[in-house]
Amino acid sequence: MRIRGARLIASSAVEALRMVAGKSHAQSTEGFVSQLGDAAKILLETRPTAVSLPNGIRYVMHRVNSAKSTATSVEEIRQVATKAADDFITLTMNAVGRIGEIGANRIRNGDVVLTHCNSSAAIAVLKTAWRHGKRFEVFATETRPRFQGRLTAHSLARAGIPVTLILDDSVRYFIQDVDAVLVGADAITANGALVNKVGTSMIALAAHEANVGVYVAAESYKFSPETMIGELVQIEERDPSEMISRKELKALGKVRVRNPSFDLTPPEFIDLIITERGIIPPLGAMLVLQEVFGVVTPEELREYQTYRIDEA
Amino acid sequence: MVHKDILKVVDDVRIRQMRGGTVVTHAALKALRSASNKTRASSSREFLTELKENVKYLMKIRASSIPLSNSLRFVSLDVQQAADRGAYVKELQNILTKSSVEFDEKLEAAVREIAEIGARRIKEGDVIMTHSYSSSVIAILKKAHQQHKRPKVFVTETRPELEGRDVARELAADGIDATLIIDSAVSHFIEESDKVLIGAEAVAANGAIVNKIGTATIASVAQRARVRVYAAASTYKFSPETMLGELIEIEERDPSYVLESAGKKKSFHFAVRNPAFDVTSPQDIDLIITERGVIPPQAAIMIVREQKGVFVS
Repeated sequence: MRIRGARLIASSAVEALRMVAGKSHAQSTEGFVSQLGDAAKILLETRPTAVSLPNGIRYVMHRVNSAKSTATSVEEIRQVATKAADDFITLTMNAVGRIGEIGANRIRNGDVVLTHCNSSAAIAVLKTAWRHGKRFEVFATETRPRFQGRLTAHSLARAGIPVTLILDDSVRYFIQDVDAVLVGADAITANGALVNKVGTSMIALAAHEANVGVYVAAESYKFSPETMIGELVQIEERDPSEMISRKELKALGKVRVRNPSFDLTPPEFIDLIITERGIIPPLGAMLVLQEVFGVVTPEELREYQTYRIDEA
Repeated sequence: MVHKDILKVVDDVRIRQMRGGTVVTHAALKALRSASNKTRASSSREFLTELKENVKYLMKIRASSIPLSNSLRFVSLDVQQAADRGAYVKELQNILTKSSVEFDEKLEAAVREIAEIGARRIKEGDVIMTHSYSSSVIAILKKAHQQHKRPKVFVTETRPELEGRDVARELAADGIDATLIIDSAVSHFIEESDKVLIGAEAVAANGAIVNKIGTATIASVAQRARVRVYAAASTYKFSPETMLGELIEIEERDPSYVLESAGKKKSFHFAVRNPAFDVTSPQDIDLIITERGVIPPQAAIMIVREQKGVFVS
């Protein structure tokens, strides 16, 4: 099954973890925790760049590990795991709604908003603003190679919002007509840089140069704690067949294809980040990380890396 | 009446998505010759009227293509001057053929010269990024490869018509290491690139370049990353009209190209816009490689003033 969107990826992974917890036949709490830990590792390998996925798993595993020493039965620890998973899923569901409400305040009547890819948080902002009676227009980039922009255009148009679909390449051409760029996030690093669908960085540059505000809608679980200790966010390169069919590629001869999924937008191109905890400047990313994960030492953070993917 | 050969080339360019301004210009001149050879005009006046209609129609193939309009102006001027001298239809036909073949040859010679000059700017092992289809860019890369400089090339696929695939195929056929990427991945791969090399649909009097949509983005991303941006353009691409304050028209093409692979069954309730070209500002271009040498974009005005048929008062 293919699941799009970081929120769904994280909550599906956490839900899978919840299922493993529910169905475990482990005889001891240790056995239960190690079974869950194994499942966590498998789930972590599915999407190297998705930060919300390890954050979700970390959220559950942290609570399970804390309960391990005091739990007296498998049933007790199973309940901890299930509750933690439910809490995380609720949190992810409410976060988008909150972001929608907060972000909608930034949309003004008559605005032209440009968006890239298919972000549920960005769409929530736009739909909420529309519901509040704001009247504006949206440019949606088609978003190669998989055209998620068409989904965005379709979804906004169905809500009654006027949408124009454009090529990723024509963002700079239209940027003079645009009042704000609004994108989602796959990850936010400790210094406020944005990892998002490939193409975001050049859109932000075009906006920045044209004095157009760049807003990022990002739930707090998109912030990457590893980057606090200098880890680089890995950029996943995906199968060329997303771009060109095998048959078509073969017809081109000895041509290689590279297909990175994400790119990095530096904090200086970003005006603000809309989180469920409020709006922050990109350089406030550190604050969110500290609020969500506490004031952590490098030692504690390294502990999280138990679940980091090894670069094979 | 516009001749059927003229109509055919217009369709060819539109339907078969003919690549690059140079290719289109050659095709237009060929059609013009063919229409002239088959003319039924009985007087030179009639011949001229026909020519004007054909030219007007051919200009519409690609409003932003300056080699096209320059070539048609070049040929028309020769024929007009001959008619003014009192030449007959037969003579005018010969002059049209001679003049258009001369332009064809000039254009071909220009691409060869640009390849020589441009290849000198490429160092051994350079990683070059290119966008869309340009005869001059391909010629430069092939020349550099012949000189054993082993350039590696990032080729953007170039939505929506995907002519980047043709570029990658042509380069790979010559043994050049070509990697196809999506247009959006330019920022990601600019770090691995040494130079950006693009063609031009037109060069304006201020040195701005009109080229396939996406070029302006690539140039600005490159400038920011301190990667040099070279534009390969024969002097026939320099637009004299822009000196008189004309803006180069940016054509918006059929939105169906954008939705081509989306399936016909779905109905869409959103608009689609598909501009074909954009304007890269001269600040984002380091130099323009012409057949007469390498110039900074700011020197474009000098080339424009020397165009045939341009009268500077």
